[in-house]
Amino acid sequence: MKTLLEPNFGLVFWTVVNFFILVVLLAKFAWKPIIKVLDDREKKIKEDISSAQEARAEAQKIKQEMEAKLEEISNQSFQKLKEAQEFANEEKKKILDSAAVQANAMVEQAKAEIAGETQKAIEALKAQMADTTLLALKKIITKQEDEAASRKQVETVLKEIETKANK
Amino acid sequence: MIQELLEHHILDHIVDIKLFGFDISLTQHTFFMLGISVCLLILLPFLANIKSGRLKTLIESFVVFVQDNIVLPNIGPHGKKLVPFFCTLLIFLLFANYLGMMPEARTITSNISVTAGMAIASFMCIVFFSIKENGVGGFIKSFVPGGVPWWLIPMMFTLEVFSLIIKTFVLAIRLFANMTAGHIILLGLFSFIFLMGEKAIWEGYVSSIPVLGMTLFVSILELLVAAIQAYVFTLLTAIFVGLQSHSH
Repeated sequence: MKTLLEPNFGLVFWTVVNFFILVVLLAKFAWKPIIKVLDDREKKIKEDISSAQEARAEAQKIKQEMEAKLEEISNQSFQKLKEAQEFANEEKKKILDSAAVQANAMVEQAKAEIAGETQKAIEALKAQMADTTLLALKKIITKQEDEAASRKQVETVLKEIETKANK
Repeated sequence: MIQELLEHHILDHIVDIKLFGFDISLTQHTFFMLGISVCLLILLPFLANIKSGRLKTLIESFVVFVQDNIVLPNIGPHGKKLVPFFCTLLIFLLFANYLGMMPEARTITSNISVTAGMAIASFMCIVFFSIKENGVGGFIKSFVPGGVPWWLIPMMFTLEVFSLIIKTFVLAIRLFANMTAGHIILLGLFSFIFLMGEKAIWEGYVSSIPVLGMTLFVSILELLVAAIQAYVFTLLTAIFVGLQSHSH
């Protein structure tokens, strides 16, 4: 039991020397290359995460810009549609007003033409009546010898006039 | 078998060497220790340099485990430069503890000299890292807790110095005791067969059946203890390094 718990200086010495040499050699040839790979990988993952976050932020920014532009375009198109409607209404009103004016003018023209034609007919009738009256007077004057005959003559003329008027 | 169990703890001098009057003879344990070191020096650089594969993943996971579960939580970010030391400590102790499971091999960590050597290495790591981080003055100051009355300082300083030495000494005892205990239990169990066999040969044969079952159980337990003790030694060293380098 005593031997079991009694340290041997030589073995302690070799253990310490062996262990520190092992630490130095393994650190140089094994652990540091592995740690470097792990650190590089960690760095790369961090960079990838960072660039992914940047890309995401950029995409978010672009999305917001696109949404703003879309809204602007929507507003613009709505405005233009409204303007077009207003323009169409104005044009419609103008056309209707113009049509109404033209129609009135045509009606007035027709009325004037009708009045002219009526006047012409009256004039023609008057002229015809004058002719007829002149004809009657001529016949009366030429055949005045007899009152009874004149009367008869006048009646005949009047009958003629009446007949012509009826025609 | 009994001879093999005993040989785990017996120092058999193979090459006698003297250094300034001190006996630093090479023993079986020294050669097994060198064997482990050579194996690690061949295996680990090979694993470090392969491009990919399960073995590469395994060794990377080992380093990440030591770094993230042992070094960084106990020492802090500035302790990252000690990751190679702790990786070597853990893997060396794992190999040393498991070596004894192989026939004809020696469990070098069931020898107090080897565990004492490992504890001295841990002690040196604690001291040198604390001096590197805080300077010699800071290291000496770290033995006196802040706010202690002046007349208590000598006593506190002495207590803290002894505390550090005892903590590292206990590391050696703990590993040695745990690794030796399994062997002593196995020795006791096997002795039981011969004790019974001396009375009557058939009793020896009959007793061997439960004894072999119990031996199997203890061997499986030793497998577990070997891993746990290697981890505990490494973890406690990291905790002590962290305490010493952060204390005020």
